[in-house]
Amino acid sequence: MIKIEYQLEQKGTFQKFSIDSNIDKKLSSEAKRFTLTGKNGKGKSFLMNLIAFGLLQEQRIDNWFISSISQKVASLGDENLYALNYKFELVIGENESIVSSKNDDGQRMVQFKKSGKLSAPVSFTVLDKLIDVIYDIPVDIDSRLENVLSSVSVEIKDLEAEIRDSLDNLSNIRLSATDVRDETKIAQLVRQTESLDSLELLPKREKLRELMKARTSINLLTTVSNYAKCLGDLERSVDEQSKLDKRLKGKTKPMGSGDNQAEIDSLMKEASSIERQFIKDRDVFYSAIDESQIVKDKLSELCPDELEIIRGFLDPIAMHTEQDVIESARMLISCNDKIKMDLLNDETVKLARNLDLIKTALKVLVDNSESATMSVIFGKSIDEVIEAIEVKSRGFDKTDYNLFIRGLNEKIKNMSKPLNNLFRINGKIEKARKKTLLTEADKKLLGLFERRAQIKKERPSLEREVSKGRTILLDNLEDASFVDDYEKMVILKSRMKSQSNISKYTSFDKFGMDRVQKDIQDLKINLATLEEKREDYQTLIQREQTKPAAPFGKEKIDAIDKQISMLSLLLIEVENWNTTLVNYRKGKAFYELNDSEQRLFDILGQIIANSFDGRLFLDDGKEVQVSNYNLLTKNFETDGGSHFYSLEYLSTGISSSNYLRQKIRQSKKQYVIVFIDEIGDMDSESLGLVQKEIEKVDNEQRLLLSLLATPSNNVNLNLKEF
Amino acid sequence: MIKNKLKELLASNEYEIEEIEELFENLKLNQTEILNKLKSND
Repeated sequence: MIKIEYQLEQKGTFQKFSIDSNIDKKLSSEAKRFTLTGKNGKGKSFLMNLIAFGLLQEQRIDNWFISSISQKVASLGDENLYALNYKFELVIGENESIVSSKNDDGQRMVQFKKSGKLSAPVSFTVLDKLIDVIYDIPVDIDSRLENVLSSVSVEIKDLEAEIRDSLDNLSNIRLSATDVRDETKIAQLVRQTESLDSLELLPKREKLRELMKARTSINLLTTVSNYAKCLGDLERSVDEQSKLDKRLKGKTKPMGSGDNQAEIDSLMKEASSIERQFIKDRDVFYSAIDESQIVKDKLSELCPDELEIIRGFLDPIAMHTEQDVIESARMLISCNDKIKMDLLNDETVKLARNLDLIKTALKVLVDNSESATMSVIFGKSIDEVIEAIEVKSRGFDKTDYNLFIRGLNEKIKNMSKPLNNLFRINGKIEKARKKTLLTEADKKLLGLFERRAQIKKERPSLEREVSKGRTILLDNLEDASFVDDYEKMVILKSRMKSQSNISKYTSFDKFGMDRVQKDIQDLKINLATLEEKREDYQTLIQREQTKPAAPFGKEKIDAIDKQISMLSLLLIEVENWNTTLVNYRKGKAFYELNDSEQRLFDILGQIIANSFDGRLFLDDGKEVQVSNYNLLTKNFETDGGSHFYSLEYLSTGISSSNYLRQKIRQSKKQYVIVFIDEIGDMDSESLGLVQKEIEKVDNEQRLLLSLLATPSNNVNLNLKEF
Repeated sequence: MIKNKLKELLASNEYEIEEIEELFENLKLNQTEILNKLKSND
């Protein structure tokens, strides 16, 4: 029994509908089982949809309703399609009812009413525990399976969208946490810096300080060593000078020198060499004079003394000096130039030269085309003229005196020039010979004088060195009281050499200064590398610290990464499922299933079996439990797969009623509402079986309302009890 | 049932039950809600 009223306006059509008074009257009666007839569009389905909507059935998330019915029920809540308000009161017991309403403000609620008193609004969950709304249509088993597959397909697609959204969300969050401050990294870098400091840098810096100290110590040791040596030298020098002063007291330094024969021999050797060369050059000169008698005669006439001086210069009895020879040579050159001028102006010499020129010219004419003409002029052949000239000039002096005298002068210069050197060397020899030769005793005495002079000469330098070292040591030695004591300075040097910080160096040359320098240099290079490494760590730490703080810790980032991996895995799976489902619905044959296909078919099989409530009613009325539907063999399978029931078998006969009966019978809730649309598609026998099942529920006092709808030619809706 | 199958798939890939459940809880959340949840649990 239900009391119902509603106002419905389809948006855009301005058509308004409300409950027909006859229908309202019948529904308000005690009867609960009706057949609902009327023309299509008169509101048969709407009435059932409204009551289902009023009982919040659009909130069901299982596959209890086929998708077309779910969508129709849910569409009543779409305010873009409908302006709907309603109120109905469904009696569930004596003085007990369910009141459902939606007012003009869109406020929708369901309340229990007991003895006229309304409860607070109740949720779908509360209602669902109490009432089963069976709302279906009698379709064949294939269509029903297709409906389930379609519904699952939508569900998988929705899930895929959810996974994609979630993946996007997590990826965005992950991105925001990518370039952020990594506290772990900072801590690690700080630890690395600390390790570098404690294990490498600090010990090596200390080592460098020690090496620098060692170098200073070696420097001081070197100063001490040099100072001690100078101090010793000075002491010995003073002592030696004192002894020499005593020894030489009252004595005069012998004049002269020691044996200088070696020096004389050397100079004599040099002089002999020059003299030998002079003799060669002189002989060449005199031979050259012999080549021209006329020049020889004239020279003997003009410079007889000079020729004699040069010729006899090196004779043992000769009294002439090198300067005399050099002067004579100059005179000879002057005479030569005069003789040359005289000869060049001599007529005989001129004639001989001119005839020679004519003869040369004629010889050229012999080969010339003009020779015949010239022969006519001479009255003889040119050869005959040349012959005549040769005869005429025979006996004439044909010497080129210009060239001859120039060569002669060159020889004179060549011969006389080295005599300047000979003059200088002979001077030295003379001087050396004049030196006094000393006796052995004087030589020894002279040696002592010279030694004392040397000591005196060296003394200032030695004193300067000692003074310089002393100043340094006074500033640097802890105890400088014995700085003037040579013996103690030697002991100090020995002690310093054995100092532990430098002992490994001091046995080497320069007390190992080169080695310690090299060790310092190597260590500095090593330290520079380490300092650079430390700088790098500091830079990395600073760079990390300037980054924004991470929104959460690394653990969370790892967790996000893990969730992204999981979602990626799921996305691949649901994408595969979508493809597989599309292929299956298109009728593609499946033989060997891959893992993903197997998983999908497992689920589909269970969902289909579940949509049949895990039970089948066979034609003989027997009920069997099924747990799976095998999509490949098209068999329902019992638990454990021991029995199979083929789809073919179920599709024949009374399959539609079978399914509807099963759905009605499986309901175990306190109250049941049964709506079946399109019952005209069922034969009367099948419909009768379904009606009997409804009667059973009614007899159990659980049926609240049952509407079986079918189109008819009636203009108005009509309700008829069955 | 579909979600359960996906959970089984993840479990077979050696993900922990808690991680899987959290993943499916997060499926219902938007970005801000996930971020807030991560921050609040940190």
